[in-house]
Amino acid sequence: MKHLMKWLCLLLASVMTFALAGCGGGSAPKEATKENGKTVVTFWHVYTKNFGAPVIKQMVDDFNKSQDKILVKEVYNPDMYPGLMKNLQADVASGKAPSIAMIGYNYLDYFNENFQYVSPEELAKKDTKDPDYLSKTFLPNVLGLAKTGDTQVGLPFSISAPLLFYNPDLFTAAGLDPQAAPKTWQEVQDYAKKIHDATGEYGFYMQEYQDNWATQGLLTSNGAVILDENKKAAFASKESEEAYQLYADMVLKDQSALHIAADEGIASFYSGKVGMLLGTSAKIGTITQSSSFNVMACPFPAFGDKKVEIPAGGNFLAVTAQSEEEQQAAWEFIKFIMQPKYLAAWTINTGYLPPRQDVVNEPSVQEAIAKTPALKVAFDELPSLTPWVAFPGDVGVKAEKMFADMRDRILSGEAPATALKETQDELNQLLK
Amino acid sequence: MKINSSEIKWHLLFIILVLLLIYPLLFSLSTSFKTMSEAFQSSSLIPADPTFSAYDRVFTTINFVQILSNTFIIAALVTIFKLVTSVFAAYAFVFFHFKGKTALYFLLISTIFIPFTVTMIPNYITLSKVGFVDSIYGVALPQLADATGIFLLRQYMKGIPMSLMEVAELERASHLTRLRTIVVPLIRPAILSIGIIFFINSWNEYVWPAIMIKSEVNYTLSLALQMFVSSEGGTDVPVAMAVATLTMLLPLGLYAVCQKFIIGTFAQSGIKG
Repeated sequence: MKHLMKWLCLLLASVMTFALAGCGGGSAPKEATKENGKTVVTFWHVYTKNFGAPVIKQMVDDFNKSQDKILVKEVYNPDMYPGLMKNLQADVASGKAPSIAMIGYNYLDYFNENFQYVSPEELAKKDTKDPDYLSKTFLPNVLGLAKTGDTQVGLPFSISAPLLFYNPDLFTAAGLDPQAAPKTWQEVQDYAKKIHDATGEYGFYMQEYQDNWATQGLLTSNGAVILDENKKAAFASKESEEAYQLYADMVLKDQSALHIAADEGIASFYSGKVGMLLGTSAKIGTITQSSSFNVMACPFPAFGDKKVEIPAGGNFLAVTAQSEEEQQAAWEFIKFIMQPKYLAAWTINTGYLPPRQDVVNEPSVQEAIAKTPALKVAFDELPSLTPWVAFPGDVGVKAEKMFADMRDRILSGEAPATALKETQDELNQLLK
Repeated sequence: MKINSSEIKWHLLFIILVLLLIYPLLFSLSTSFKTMSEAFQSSSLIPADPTFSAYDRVFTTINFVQILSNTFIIAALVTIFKLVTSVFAAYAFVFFHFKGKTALYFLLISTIFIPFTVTMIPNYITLSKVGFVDSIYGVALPQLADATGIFLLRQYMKGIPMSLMEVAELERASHLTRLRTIVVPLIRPAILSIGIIFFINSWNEYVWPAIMIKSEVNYTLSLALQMFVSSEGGTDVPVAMAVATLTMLLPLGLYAVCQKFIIGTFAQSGIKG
């Protein structure tokens, strides 16, 4: 017992010490934090050691070395955008905020309505050296990815595009020419059936996460509208029905497409059990490394001669710093990493498309494109990119889940017309 | 020794169960020695071309020792404090007689039914105000007492024969002496097994440290695992499995050591006549 009591006292004492030591840094959120006279900028991102984090670290280290007034600290948030959002909510609830937060495009409206931030337009205006930075540096359609209404919420940083990866070995086995990739969805259906009939493997898989990213591309490429100009759900249309029917036919009638959760589905492609994979350009690296065959890629297929409209995935950077000094420091850092040199490293390392057009001229990017043709496919898709539809208010998080449920209902045999209509009504009820 | 047929049937069932339970462990162990491409190509438990590259990457990309010791400090703090508070509280609830004891006990027990998600943000805000965010002590602090432990230990203590305690009372032994010489030795197996549960729960904890901890120097193992898992960029499966394997080692070893001890204490703690 004596022993136990001794332990208890010791531990209690140490906890108290830490409690007292911690008291200093708790309050005064409106002033920038300083460390050795440098303004501290915290940069919240979602990138892991095997995807992106090493480049982010390089950017931060280079920036910290390039000047002596600002100290940037990068903070990894597990669980992608939902994880970062959760941490941001907790931080804001306690009266704090990071200086820069990385927000997924599908959280654009949610972020805009629930958090305090400074628009990059405002930051650029205050920046006397370079007030036209935005219009000079970015394409309008790229800036549009992080815009809601007329408000520029943040600056697009990572852009991913959906594209079709395929396994040339399975193409050859099914008597298809690997050089003649499918251009339309009708061809995808036809190819998938041929692969399935000839090899017994699945012909097609479309990444099935709990969101509406890939499926949005499918619907809008057939001319469907997800959200109309009055911000009402409007996807229960003939076009959506047609698109979903084709997909459901592959899964249910031809049994040539796989319907399974994303991790399993993508792993099946790696192991040569699926002929074509509709996935994100952000996975170009992982897919090439994990597959035993020579992975090939082609652009997102079209419906007949209709225009392909695919959602941009990825994230934008928002300045959530509270004091003006910290905001300016954050802006300096954002401008630093938006230099073509760093965006090129980012693109090569992650498969994301850069928000600036001039990055493609960097020799390192040209070299990477030559080595990984899939990257070239993604670059070519830049003009087809449209914003990933974000639902306003609290509905955003729920809507993604509802879209995923709708997809599962249709792929399990429910008529697309009913599922689309019911989901649309339910969503509009929520939006009221 | 004779073995009858029903025993064989039970044994077969248990062997199958054990195999099912042990498969994921073997899977992570074997995958951690595969290359990324092989991890997806073959489900064989024996890597075709075993490589240490996954472990190499773990030790070169993260400060594993630091992360291991963070996790250990949190789990040890939480376990020790939970056990100490639980033993004292359970003792009071069983052997002290005071007004409103039952009401107080049920009030305390009802906190078991408050889900973690409800207290998560309020706790974060409180700890943030006293400057405990991004500290491993901040992760441990709200978990230093636990109603489940009080409940379980109270059940065990109620099983202690009153006659033993009465003798102690006649001997004018103080409460602390009774706790030390009678109660704790008798319920040691319970304390140990509850301690192991506390330790493993804290060791594997994810959501709470994920909110509290920001910098890599303060990471725990379950957060370190997440540094190699990305739904957008894909997962480095062998590395993730290497971290998972390393994460399992300490609790497994601890359990193996303590198991012997638990069985030993069971044999000693009988009451004689």
